[in-house]
Amino acid sequence: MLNGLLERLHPMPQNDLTLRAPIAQARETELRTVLAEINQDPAGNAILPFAKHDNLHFARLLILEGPDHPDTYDSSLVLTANVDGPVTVFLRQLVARHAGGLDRLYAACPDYPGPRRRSPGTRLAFLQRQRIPSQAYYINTIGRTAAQIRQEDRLQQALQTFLNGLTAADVDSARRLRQRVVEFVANEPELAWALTARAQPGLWWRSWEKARFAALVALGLLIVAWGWPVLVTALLALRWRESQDPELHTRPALSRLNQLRATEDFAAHNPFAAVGYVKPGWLRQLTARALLASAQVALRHVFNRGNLAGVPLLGLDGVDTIHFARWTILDNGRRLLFTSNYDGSLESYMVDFVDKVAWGLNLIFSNGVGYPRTRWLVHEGARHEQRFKDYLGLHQLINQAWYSPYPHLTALNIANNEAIRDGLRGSMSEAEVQAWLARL
Amino acid sequence: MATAGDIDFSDIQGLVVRGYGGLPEACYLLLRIREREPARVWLQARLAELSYADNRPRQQALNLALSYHGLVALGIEEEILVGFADPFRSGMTTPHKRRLLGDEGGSAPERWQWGGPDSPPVDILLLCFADGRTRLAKLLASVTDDLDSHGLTEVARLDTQSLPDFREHFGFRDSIGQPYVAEFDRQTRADRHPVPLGEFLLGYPNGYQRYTQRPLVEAGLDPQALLATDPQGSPLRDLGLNGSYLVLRQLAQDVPGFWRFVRDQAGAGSAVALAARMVGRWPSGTALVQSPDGDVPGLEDKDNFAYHASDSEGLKCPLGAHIRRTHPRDSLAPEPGSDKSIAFSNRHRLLRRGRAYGPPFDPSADPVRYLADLDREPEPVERGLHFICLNANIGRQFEFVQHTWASNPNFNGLYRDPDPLIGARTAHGQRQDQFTIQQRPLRRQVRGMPAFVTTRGGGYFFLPSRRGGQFLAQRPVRQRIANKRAAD
Repeated sequence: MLNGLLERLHPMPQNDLTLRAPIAQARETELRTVLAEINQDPAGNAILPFAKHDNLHFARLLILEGPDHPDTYDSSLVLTANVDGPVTVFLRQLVARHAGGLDRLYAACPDYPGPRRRSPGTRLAFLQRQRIPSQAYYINTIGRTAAQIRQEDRLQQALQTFLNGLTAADVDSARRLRQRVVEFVANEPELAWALTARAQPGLWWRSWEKARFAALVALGLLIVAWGWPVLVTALLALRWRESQDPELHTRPALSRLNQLRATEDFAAHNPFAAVGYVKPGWLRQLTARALLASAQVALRHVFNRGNLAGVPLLGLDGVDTIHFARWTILDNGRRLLFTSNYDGSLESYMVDFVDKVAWGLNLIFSNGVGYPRTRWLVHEGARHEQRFKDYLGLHQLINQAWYSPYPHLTALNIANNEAIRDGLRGSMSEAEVQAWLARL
Repeated sequence: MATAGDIDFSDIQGLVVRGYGGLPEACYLLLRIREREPARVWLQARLAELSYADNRPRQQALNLALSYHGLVALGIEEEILVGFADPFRSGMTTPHKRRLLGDEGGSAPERWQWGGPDSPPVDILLLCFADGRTRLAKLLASVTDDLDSHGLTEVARLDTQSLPDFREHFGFRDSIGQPYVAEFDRQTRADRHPVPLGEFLLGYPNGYQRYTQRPLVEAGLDPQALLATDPQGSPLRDLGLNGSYLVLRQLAQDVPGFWRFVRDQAGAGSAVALAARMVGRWPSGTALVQSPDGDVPGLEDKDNFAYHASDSEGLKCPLGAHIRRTHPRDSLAPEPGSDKSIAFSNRHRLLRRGRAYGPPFDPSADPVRYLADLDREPEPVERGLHFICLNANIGRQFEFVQHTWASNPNFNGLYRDPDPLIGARTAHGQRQDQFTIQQRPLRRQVRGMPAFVTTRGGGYFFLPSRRGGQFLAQRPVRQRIANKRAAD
């Protein structure tokens, strides 16, 4: 309730949608056919043409087996999306634009309204009911919309064509060259928008974010100041537990890995999904939730400009290849689902994990059953390269359908395009002009 | 770090420590196993003739590697097979590997001369080296004269061609930026960052100070104790120890096509300079970072440079140049310019052992001579590189370098720039054919760059240690027991 009100008063520019709908076992095969059809052409398929939504970044559909698989059939259809603006608006769009497609997609889900009861209202109510919250959500750059990314991509390409048409005589001095570029954009009606400042969260919004961060930090300090004996005890207990927790030593079957790989590396980025059990017992449950809550504060307030987990002051290296990521607790805390969209191959993603942000991964994923052994929650763990890669392989899920609105762009490209656009305005020193031209 | 004293060099195949530069003639034989038992006899005979790292052969050398298909053909037990690395087991031609390695279109495995789905499987790779043609011919005759009677078929014979000044066919000196493995060098080099031995040899700590995945064998499957015990202290025997994975790719090079394109883009006078920017080195091998404005052939140490301090923006050596991708030294995150960055880069190194094949476009292998007459060949001539590299982790080393660095059009913040020499020209559903030269005030861009290199064959192999080879060539224990039961 309170959250909903706050959300309305102080909306986040990007939001995570996760829907989880139980599947009727008898209809799973049919559902797989539908998903395969969507994945044939995620942008333009007849069922759920994702490209019809300008406010959508990435979307995926996957079939998630239940926590007691294979003893009990409890599979569900999971849909995740990263959207600009409120999730409700996006859900309304889905219902308004693809009523027939939703009917086909969710035909396998017994909770979906029956043919006679179907109306925009009942469809929307169904989608709303299937929503599950994520405990932590990473947005590469808060406030950067999908429309902006595509627009700035077109700008970058138009500028490339323009620059390629210049003669050597046109390229005399840096300043005059920048002037030529700006004039070109100004004279191009299709690009004139680029000379206006991009939409950014207002002063009021930013102040509120700062106040929110300050309040949360203060709360954290209070918890540490008053609760340190409890925290220290918990830490020692965890230290003892982690030395006892069993590690998985099995390797994933090669056939399974090849099945996973078959769906990867078609674009500049890939979707990743994995699910695992949280270690049993209230201590681990509480630790997992507390760490996810702290991670959420850091992701929203600190790591919100393209560099995940980079803290130069502490000598921590960040990762600049992740577009979106989320951690979602499932089944009353029994399992944790992780989904992300990252640049490059899975091997390079895992290498980034192992080399750069092992500590951060360890903090969260060491609460998972079978995770490579950690020391003091941050050390080792993912640094056991092979065991970590095997662990991921054992938990990775296949995305039955996946949509990217800008499949040729990496997060670095997107940030560069934004800086190109920003550089069309304002005055610059000679060095700044040089640096800006180097982006082209 | 293992000290040289702990290492049994007589257990390591010679190719690991040396490229046999003193043996200029070489030929690679690709064989298929038709009948297991006679093939085993042949294999045992060859193993006795192999060259090991403990002595430098003066006249001839022989090394041998097996494909996964070959291990299966030899009847190696499934429980042992699963211990081998995943890429080795899946091979190079799965749909995913084609995307990863850029083997699509003209390079698709269906069109390969060997190693593809439409050509016979390759089980054994025999690498033959000699100091002269006659000796090589004799060596080849001796290893092939009884193939048929031993249930083996020759699938392909890959001849090689040594070019002047250690050049490759495009006319550039090759094999300069080799990883420095301290254990292999007689004198310590303080100015180099050593790459841990475990990055190339199984059974030693790798770049994460851990042991790379490798096949370990239950003692019961090795009753004669042919294998060494697991250096990690488990009761298992180590089939991987002192072995490595060998990647072989036949890469055809379109030499006149390359130079014609470069000349058309830059004009005859600047063709060499543009080509040097694509490579990252001048024809003599001197790096652009060492000498950006012209070749300095006499430079002593052509491997002694880094990128970050002197050229972080790519103004000397373009960000997308071949050598800056395949060995980025200190130029990439984390913390470019630091030891951390070099350590990162050093976890993606390849020990290159390949050789050129086919006649040079000009006997001098000199680009200036090439440019004098680019139309000298009325018909296309087959030439290129038999690329060979050794690594302990194919996924993190060879495949990573090929995909994340070389073929990646978005490498280093670029957009549509694959490696100008070896990068695939299509990826992510679009053409990737640009090459950007960073300069002030505005970059220069080469567009519409065709492929200059085409894959004609390839495979992953296991280069066993002396002991590992003996173990693999004997009749598997299970089979022996079964045979014995049948006899009883």
